[in-house]
Order: sequence, then structure tokens, then C-alpha cells
Amino acid sequence: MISLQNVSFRYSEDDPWVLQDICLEIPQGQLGVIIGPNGSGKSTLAELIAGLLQPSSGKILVGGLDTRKHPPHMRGWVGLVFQNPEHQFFHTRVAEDVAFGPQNLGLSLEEVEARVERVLREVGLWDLAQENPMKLSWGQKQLVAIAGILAMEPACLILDEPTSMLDPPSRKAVRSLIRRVRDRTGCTVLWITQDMEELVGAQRVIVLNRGRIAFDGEWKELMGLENLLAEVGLQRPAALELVSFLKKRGLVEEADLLFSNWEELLSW
Amino acid sequence: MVMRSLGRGSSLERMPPGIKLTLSVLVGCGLLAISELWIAVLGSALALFLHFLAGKNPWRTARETWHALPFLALLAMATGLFHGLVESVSFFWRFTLLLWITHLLASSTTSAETMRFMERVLGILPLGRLGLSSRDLEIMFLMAVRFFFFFRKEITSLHKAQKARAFNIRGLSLKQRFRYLVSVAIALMDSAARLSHRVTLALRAKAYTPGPSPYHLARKPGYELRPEGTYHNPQHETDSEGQGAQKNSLHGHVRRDSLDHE
Repeated sequence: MISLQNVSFRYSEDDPWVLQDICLEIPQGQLGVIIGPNGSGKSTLAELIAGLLQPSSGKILVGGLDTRKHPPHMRGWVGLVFQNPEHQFFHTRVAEDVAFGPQNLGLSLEEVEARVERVLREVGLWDLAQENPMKLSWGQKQLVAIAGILAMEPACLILDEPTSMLDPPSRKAVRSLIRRVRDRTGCTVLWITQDMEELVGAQRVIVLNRGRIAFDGEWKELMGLENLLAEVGLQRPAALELVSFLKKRGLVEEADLLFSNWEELLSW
Repeated sequence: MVMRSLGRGSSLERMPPGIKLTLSVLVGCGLLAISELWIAVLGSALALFLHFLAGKNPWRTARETWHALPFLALLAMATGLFHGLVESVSFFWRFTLLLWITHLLASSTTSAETMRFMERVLGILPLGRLGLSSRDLEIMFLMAVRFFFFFRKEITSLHKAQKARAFNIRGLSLKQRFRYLVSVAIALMDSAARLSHRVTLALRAKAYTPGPSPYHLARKPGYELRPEGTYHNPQHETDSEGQGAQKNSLHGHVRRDSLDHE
């Protein structure tokens, strides 16, 4: 369970607030999507939950422990995958890089090796274990970065816009990987994005705007809030606009069929 | 990534990086320490042989390194003032050879190869006995190499961005060039600061801390992580919250090196 109690954050006293009065309860195993425009505080929120930053006021509890005294990333409880995978590479071989986190957690050599193999097979990069991660394609780099965090077996996995730099097939690969991992481990997943299509099927959607929570609820409800979306600067997916158009024209059956197909295609 | 000026797959490129780095050090020591004629002749022969292995024309190396030659000539002239013309020529030639050979060896070795070699060397050295953590040194080295290549890549990007806006440094006066270099340096510092912030966060996200850390108690035999997040050794039952154990590690009693070997 992750609990944010009236959390506000700014980098220094002279800086404006990045996040203000955030209150959230995220139960274990939930799949949540955090969405918002640039500068809304999404990445800062992720870094706060991971314990990489400390709130200027308020309290964050991960597993009942205050992140100020017990940074959750140090125990591998919360794993954060950065937007740019290159920032997370520290070694010149994929396997060594994936082993870096578990080694820091103090696991035995056998356990580290077992985790590296299991995770690399899971992400489909076992054959590239001896390659230099910097020389892989961008999609493969992102998978290596995710594997490095998965090897730490976090109870909560936060992915900061992991698909923003990827082509459509790689996006699909990353999403299906996270789905599989969640099914297998039951971990909490917080997926940060700017893409409205990535909300489809999420158990919970949190919209951030100017450092505050503008919406916290279900994705279908959000898609209907046109004024809120316009205010935040988010656009409904083109397929939904088409569904609305068909309904206005009286083609309700066709619209429903299109919607259900679209939902099935994109759903988590 | 290192800029490759050589054809892929030359004999020199295939040579193990360890041999190339050792050769660089030996050539450097020899050319700097010995001012006899035979070392200059030997150095020239070695330079020619390495060019042959690389399949590269020595003239190309000379063109690639010409920027440093006026500086070397200046130093050689200064040496000549005190030690005479022969010593001045010998100095210039030995340093030029050193420049060419190290340039040739470095440009035929990728950054990854260099890093892998250094990882191996640091792994072999008995640094633990000197109270140093080979792992921390390895990370420091990897970060240093990473920033070196980052700077190189960033400078190339900045030049390309300026060229795209029809900027031509050759058309500038010396004063204007200096101003341009200052602005490039400022942009580089800004990018480097941002990258270093992200890399620091990424290191912490992977549970890395330099030196001993209370969280590494989890690795020590006998210590257990309690549900409330403290570490506890059942053999020390008086330590009710495990806080004493944390203090011990913070005072350096639990060394990271010893944990790494377990």
C-alpha cells in the first residue's frame, strides 16, 4: 500500500510548487495510470513515491513506512523506470547491467544470476545478454532498463513515460510485458503517460494538472469529461471521437461495436 | 560511442583492448623517459607497423592530429633554448610519435572495450586490502568514461545545430570565436549538470550507495529484515528495534567489500 498524505514539493524555497497537497491511497496490486501535460508534476510524483526525492511537506508511506526514514528504493520495494533508458545503464553488458540492482540489494551470487536469467528470458533479451545495452535499438534499451528494475522484484513498479520514445511495435511489446509481469507477480503498477490511449482498461486514472490532482477515477468517466480534458490540454483518442460521431448520426450499434473492438485492442 | 576513423575489422581493431592499453602505457613511458636516438627510431618503426596493422595511411593520422603539433613545436623550441637543437628535434619527434600511436590505438578501441578492460582490471586488483571498494571505483570509472563520451557527443550535436543555422566558425574573428566557445562551454555545463542529476537518481533507483549502507545489513548472515523495515539480528535480542545494528553499519563496521565477497 502506498499512501500520500497532503504531499507538496518544490525544489527550493525560491522555486514554485511542483506538487501541491497531493492525497492518494494506492492499494497493493492496483494498475494505475497517471496522466497530465508537460510540467504537471508526473515525474516528480514518481520520484517522490520511489523515495528519490523527499516531500517539502506532508508524508509518503510505502508499506506503512515513511519514505524519509526508510527510502523504499533502497530495499527494492519501489522500482522506477526512467523515460530515457540510457540514464539507467551503468555497465557495458546487458546481463551485468541487469545484475547491478540485485547486487546492490545484497543478494547472493546464485540468486542474482537466477534473477538475471529469469528476467532476461521474460523480456525476450536472453540472447542479447552479452551485448552492450547502448548499442541496442531504442525499444530493446527500454526493455533492458525495465529488466534491470524487474530483477529487483519490486512490490510497486513505476514507469515514467516508458513508451514515449518508442515505435508502435515496441510500445506494444513493453505494454504486454508489464501486463505479464503484473499477472505473474501481482505488483502494483503506476504507468505515467501523456497518451490517452494508454488509459484504456486501467483500473484507475489520476490526472495531474499544474501540480494538483485534477481527476481520480475510472478511465471511461474521464473520457466523457470534455471540459476537464480541454482545460488540462488532453485530447480524446480519435477512435472515441469517431464513436461519438457515429452515435450522433444514429449508428449506435456500429458505434458500440467500434468502441468494444477498440477497447479490446488497447486494453490492459 | 567512440568515433571510428579506421576501417572495421582491421587487425589493430581486433587486438584485445588490454594489449592496446598496455602498449600505450609502455610506448608513453619509453618515449617520455628515454631521449636516445634509438628510441625515436624504434618508435617510428612501431608507428609504421601499427599503421600497417590498422590499414591506415600515416599521413591521415598526421592530418587528424595536426591541431596539437604547433603546441608541441612551441614546447620543443623551449626545450631547444636550454638543451640545443638536436634535443629540441628529438623532443618534437618523440612527442609527435606518442601522439600518433596513442591516437591510433585509442581510435581503434571502442569505449565499451575500454570500460570492459578496466572493469576486469579493477576486479583483479586487491583493492579491498587497501580499504577501497572495487565496486565503487568501477562505478566511478564508468561514470567518468560516460561523461567523457557525453561531452564529445554533445559538442558534435551543438556544432551540427549551429551549422544548421548557417553558422560558420571560420568566418569569425578570434574574439568572436572565443565568445562562441564560452557559450558552448556554458551549454555543455548545463547539459552535464542535468545528466548528472538524472544519473544520480538512476543510481539510487537501483539501490546503489557508495560505501557501507544500513540497508546492506540484509546481506549479512544472521540479520533479518523485519516487516516494519528495521534490521535485526536474533543473536542480539537486546537490540529491540535493530537500530543498534544500523548504527554499527553506519560507523563502518559492516564493510561493503566484505559483503560483496559473500
